[in-house]
Amino acid sequence: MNNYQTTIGIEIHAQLNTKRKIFSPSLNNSNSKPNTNIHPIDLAFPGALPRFNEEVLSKSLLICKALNMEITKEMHWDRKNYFYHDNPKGYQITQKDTPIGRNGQIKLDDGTIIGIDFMHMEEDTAKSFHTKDAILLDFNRSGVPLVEIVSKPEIHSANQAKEYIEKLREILLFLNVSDGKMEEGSLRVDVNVSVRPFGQEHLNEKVEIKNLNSFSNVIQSIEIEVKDQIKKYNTSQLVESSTKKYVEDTKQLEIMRTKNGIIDYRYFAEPDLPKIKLTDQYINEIIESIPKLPNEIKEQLQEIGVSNKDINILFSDLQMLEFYLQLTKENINLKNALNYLLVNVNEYLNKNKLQMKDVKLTVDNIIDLEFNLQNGKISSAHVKKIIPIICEKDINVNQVIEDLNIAQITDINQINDLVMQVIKNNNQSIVDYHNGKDRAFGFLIGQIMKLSKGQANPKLVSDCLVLKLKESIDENIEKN
Amino acid sequence: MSNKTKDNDNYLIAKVDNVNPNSEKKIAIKDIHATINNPMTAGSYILKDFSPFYNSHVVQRLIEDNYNVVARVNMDEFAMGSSNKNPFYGHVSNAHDNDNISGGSSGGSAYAVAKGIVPVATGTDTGGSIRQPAALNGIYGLKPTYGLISRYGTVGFASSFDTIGMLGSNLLKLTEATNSLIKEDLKDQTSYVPVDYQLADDTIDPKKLKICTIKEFEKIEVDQNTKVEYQLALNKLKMQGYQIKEVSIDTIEYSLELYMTLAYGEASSNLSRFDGVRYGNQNASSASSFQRSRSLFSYEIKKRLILGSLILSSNKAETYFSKSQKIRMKMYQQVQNIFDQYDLIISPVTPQSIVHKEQSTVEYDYVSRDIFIYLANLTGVPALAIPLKKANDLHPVGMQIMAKQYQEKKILSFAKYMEGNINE
Repeated sequence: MNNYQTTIGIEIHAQLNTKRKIFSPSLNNSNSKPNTNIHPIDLAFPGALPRFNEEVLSKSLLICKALNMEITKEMHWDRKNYFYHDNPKGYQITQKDTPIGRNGQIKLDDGTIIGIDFMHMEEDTAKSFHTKDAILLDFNRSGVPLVEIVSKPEIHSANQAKEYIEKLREILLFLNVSDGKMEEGSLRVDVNVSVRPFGQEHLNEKVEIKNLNSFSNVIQSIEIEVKDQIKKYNTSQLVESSTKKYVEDTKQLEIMRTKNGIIDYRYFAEPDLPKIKLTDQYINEIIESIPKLPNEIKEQLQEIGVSNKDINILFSDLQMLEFYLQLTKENINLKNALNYLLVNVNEYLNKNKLQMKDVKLTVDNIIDLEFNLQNGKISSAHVKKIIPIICEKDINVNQVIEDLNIAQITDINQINDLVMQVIKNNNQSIVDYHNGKDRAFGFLIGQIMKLSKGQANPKLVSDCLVLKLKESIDENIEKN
Repeated sequence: MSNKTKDNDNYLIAKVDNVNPNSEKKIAIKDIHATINNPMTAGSYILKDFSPFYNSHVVQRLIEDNYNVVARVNMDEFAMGSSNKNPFYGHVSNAHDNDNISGGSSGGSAYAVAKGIVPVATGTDTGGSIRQPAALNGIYGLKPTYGLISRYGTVGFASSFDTIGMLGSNLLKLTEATNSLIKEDLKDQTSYVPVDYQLADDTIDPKKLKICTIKEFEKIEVDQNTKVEYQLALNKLKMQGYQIKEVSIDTIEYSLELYMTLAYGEASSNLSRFDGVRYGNQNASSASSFQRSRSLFSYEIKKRLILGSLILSSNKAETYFSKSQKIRMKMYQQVQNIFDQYDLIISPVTPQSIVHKEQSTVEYDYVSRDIFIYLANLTGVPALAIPLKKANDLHPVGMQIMAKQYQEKKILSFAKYMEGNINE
């Protein structure tokens, strides 16, 4: 096994979350009822012409910037011609010759750099559903903007492939340009796999595996394919260039087409759309607005002392991460705040099977909570009680404290009264205390807390009791 | 297909009743512009009974400007052809001689105007489809600058050539109707209308215009009728003080080849949408039966689509399509250079002014047709066909006047001068 090197190239199609489609005014909304976001352009009715949506351009430019790509300033569109029932015009408008970005890169955690060959903009096809005796078509997806991001063949293991996709997905999410949902098809992954003996210069034939819709499918497919190719080389069989798909039921790869099935797409420059010429000023205005990227945010968190483990937890729920980043701008104990999120809030989320975006919790809630804790008005035990409530309801923390009647008694006179009452009723314990029985002190504290229904501030109670006990000794001495 | 009793009715696809029926401003439209609540065939069987649910830019503008759209008129299938011998909706005769063709692809438009049924009719001109029938029927036909009129909602044939224009019985009505169509439209991003751009035939002094002819056109054999009338017109112009110089555009000899390569290539892609899945004659129930739907095209269309697909195929594209694009760019540059020195280029419209209905389409299309005409489509410049003989002459002859992009005013001012001083 170790005599072979695996080489993987990855093609990712990501749907952009623009308001409208790439070449028509239809809404780009995957939650709509089938065939409601449609227009003569999406259905390729006679005479309908495409019109380019500039929001696609600005989102694509942000991706180019985030991936460190060279931006193509003069672009045209190309037609990729083929017949299929989900391809209404009989061609897809794409960018074959002038992709918007070239030569980008993604850095993995161990410092490995994976090169990106190019990225281009194009349109999605209609979605088809195959039933027993019909093909049903949903044209809501026809014309949804896509970017295709093609890596260089610089990935050498299934795990690296997974990390590359994760990093790329994270970037798309942080830029707010795509939903990045693999399982729903807004992020679609094709991998090209080929193995060769170590030391061999040229790459062997590759096999493309299409439309992998989860990370585990990516890993599984690559592992199966690598094993298969190595087995073939070891037994002097040929690896044939082909396209396969991963079948989830059988956990096997199935051949879709071989080299002979290659389609001639008869590409030519799209004559229905003008060329795009980008000025430096235009590009700069757009990429200036780029938000912070995952790597920068990780560094920022490391600087304020968040552990790598906690960073990973935060990155698994981007809403929570965003929430925490807002908290870092406030003047509060960040360590406590992080704990509230990672422990208490997460407990609530897990218990109720919710996500951060579903909860009512606000940054002000956390600030108030922390303020009350610092002032001793509530205890950390109370925090545990309060958090589920402020997650569930849109309510002020002080209101919760009042409703629960859990505000601590911090008034020194009130506490004195409580202490005196207990001392009066527990003469024996006082005596025990003076005779050196430490347990008596704990008992007295317990009695005071009980009397206050748990609301007396323990620290103040303790301080006060010590003082009063000392006074009682002095009194005894005087009396005697 | 309506109840046509006579061959002469073939120009008509169907009457249109509901677009400003009370207006005096009558117009016919080539059956290629989408009109809400009306069918649109584009001369094809595959779109028989197809009704769009959107208006084309052309129809929208005509509605807004209170034009009474009276009829949808015949054409070559998908505007591909120059005889209007439509296999599904009938052959359109020449307005002045029943034995001859009307020309095409806007043959129905030319017939309706020449017969006085309407003063103006819309047309589209991809490779002469307005100018050639206008010339054969002795009327005016304007192919404006490429991009001046939005193509939205007008069925596409070859996108980088397709130009919407007008056929008219006189310059005034033609200009007026064309002006109605000239309005910025963001739905066609290849269109461009300069600020306040409107056509006029009286804003430029025609006597100051510098005119040239093209040397390479001299070699082309034209029929006697054309030769006589065209020479006569040239002589009159010279007598009135015009100095007509000869210029050379060496790429012109490739005109037909460039046109066929590029336009058929684009057409093979543009017509892919007619697969019978979403509209039209819906024969296709699955991907594998697209061919059943597409067998509804006529022989002429199939031939062009097959040629176009071949031209674009990966092992031929470099030799044919890309090379043609390069020569087209060179031709464009040569024409720009000429218009740096001259205002107008004039030529005959067609080499053959009398085309019998029985003449084979193949011979007509590829041997003697339209050689003067492609230059304007390949370079995007405006071109007008004007009649050189009296109205109602049995065998009309046309002259073509071309100018630089967005200089229609020069053409129209000169045409008006011709109307008043040369053609009486």
